Amino acid sequence: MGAGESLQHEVEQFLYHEARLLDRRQFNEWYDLFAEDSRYFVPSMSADSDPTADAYIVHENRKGIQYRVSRLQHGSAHTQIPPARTAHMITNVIVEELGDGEVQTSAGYVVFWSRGAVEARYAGLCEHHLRRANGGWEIVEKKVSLLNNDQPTDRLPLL
Amino acid sequence: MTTDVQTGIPDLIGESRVHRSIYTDPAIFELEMKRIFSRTWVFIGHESEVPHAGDYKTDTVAGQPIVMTRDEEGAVRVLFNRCRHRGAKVCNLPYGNSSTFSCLYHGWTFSNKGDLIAVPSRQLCPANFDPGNYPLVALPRVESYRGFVFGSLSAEGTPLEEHLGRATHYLDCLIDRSPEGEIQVCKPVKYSYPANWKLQIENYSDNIHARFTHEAAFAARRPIESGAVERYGAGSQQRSDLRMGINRVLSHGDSMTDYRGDRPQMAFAGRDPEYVSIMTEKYGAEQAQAIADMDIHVIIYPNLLMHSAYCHYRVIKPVSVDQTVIVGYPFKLKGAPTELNEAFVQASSEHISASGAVQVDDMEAFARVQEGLAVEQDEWVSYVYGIEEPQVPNEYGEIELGMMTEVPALHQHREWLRLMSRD
Repeated sequence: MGAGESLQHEVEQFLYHEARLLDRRQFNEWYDLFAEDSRYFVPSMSADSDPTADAYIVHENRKGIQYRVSRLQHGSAHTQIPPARTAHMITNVIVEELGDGEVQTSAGYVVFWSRGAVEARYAGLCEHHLRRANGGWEIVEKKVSLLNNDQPTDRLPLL
Repeated sequence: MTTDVQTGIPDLIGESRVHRSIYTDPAIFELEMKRIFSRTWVFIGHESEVPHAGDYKTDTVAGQPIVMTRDEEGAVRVLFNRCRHRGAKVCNLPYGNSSTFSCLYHGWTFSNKGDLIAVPSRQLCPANFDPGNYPLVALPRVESYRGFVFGSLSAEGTPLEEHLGRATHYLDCLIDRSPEGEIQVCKPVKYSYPANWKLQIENYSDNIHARFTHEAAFAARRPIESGAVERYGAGSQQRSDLRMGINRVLSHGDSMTDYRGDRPQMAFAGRDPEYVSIMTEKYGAEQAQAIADMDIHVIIYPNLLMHSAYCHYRVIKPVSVDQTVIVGYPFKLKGAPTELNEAFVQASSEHISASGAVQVDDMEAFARVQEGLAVEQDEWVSYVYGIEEPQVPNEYGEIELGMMTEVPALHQHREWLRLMSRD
């Protein structure tokens, strides 16, 4: 069942907020959006890959996300010297109410990436499972299915 | 140009230095495809990727399309993925199951053994047209060692086991960590980097770079721990800073590193009591623990890199002189606990993915080396670490070296020179 106008607006604003945190490199604030029991997936080869059976590009719990964020901000994170600039685009957002203050969203997703002389772009589907918390939302699961996840990719930005 | 390259090859590899052009010259890259990747044994894939009759997997060898199939009798074959009529690829999916391959262009249909079994409008062909003359071309040589399928585009050469030599022992070590003596290869994760393929294979025996290149990964991991480490703990905290391990140079550019307890946080299988208990029934307590704790890298020149602690292997696919693709396959140990196998998949993915913790820093290093090697005024790449250590073969013909050494890379370059110098 689709969401009402105000819920749709509220959820979209949250997704835009998340995208903006990534683009501003506010990685700690981004990490804070994730729930204690959260999961973060970027499948390899197919959107339907089985994370227990197949390799994946990202498959993390909240600690893993914290490790990722901590690594990226370390002074010797060579892939961040110079830092990449990103523009995360979220569009075509569909919100589905799950009850108990939880929603499932799916959205069209494009990331433009620029670092020194190198540019790249990544597109796909971005899905969130969100839960109401502290007057806003927290991320229970985020899954990014890149269109080209069956192709080799160079050093990826934070998706 | 090509003539100059060929006659100049021996001058490019010195005792402890190599010329920058082996990483930057497109003509040398073309010659590598002919003299290395189209001649010696190269790793193709694992039989567990095509477990059932009709299963296939498409790939490339030396830039040429192939298909690895399992035919109806269960035999694994490696065929060129090229219609015998006008040349189209007959199979266009990465994985699948089919007993036949039909060409989209004029409908020629081949069995998964490669036999041409249907030619539409046959009455229009010459009277003496014989489909038996047009099977899909098989790789000139295909042999497998305990499920690891290798191929050679050259009809002549030493048999696979003889070529692998002592490397078969280390393949055994990796495979026999499975209680059933068999592995199951998973779907891969792929990465690419804008630099020469040799930088990856050299890097795999280089233990000197880690604390510089991967400083951020190590520093961030200590207070947090994630993935498999979270599940199995970090192991002994008495890290030796890589002083216990050794390297062994084998033959034909192959080598291995035995970390021997230097990386307890990575060798987590030995902390899975169920796995250790299964292995103890088979091997006794002491040997079982040693197998479970095994932490080795094995390099089979020119395109296979293996990792015991996280249970994966990587296949090097040179694309051009300054572009390389690596396909990383986690593998499960058949008969080992499900949780442990899942931890292997997770640890491997975190380690090697293009969004992972460790390999991305190496990719950054490779890219910067390639950019730096554009400097023509500084022609030579230097190797200095461990090169004065005595190189005396042991009873197995292996040269045992310390941990901090660049000698295995120099042996890769010697194999490179041997292959590149033959017409």
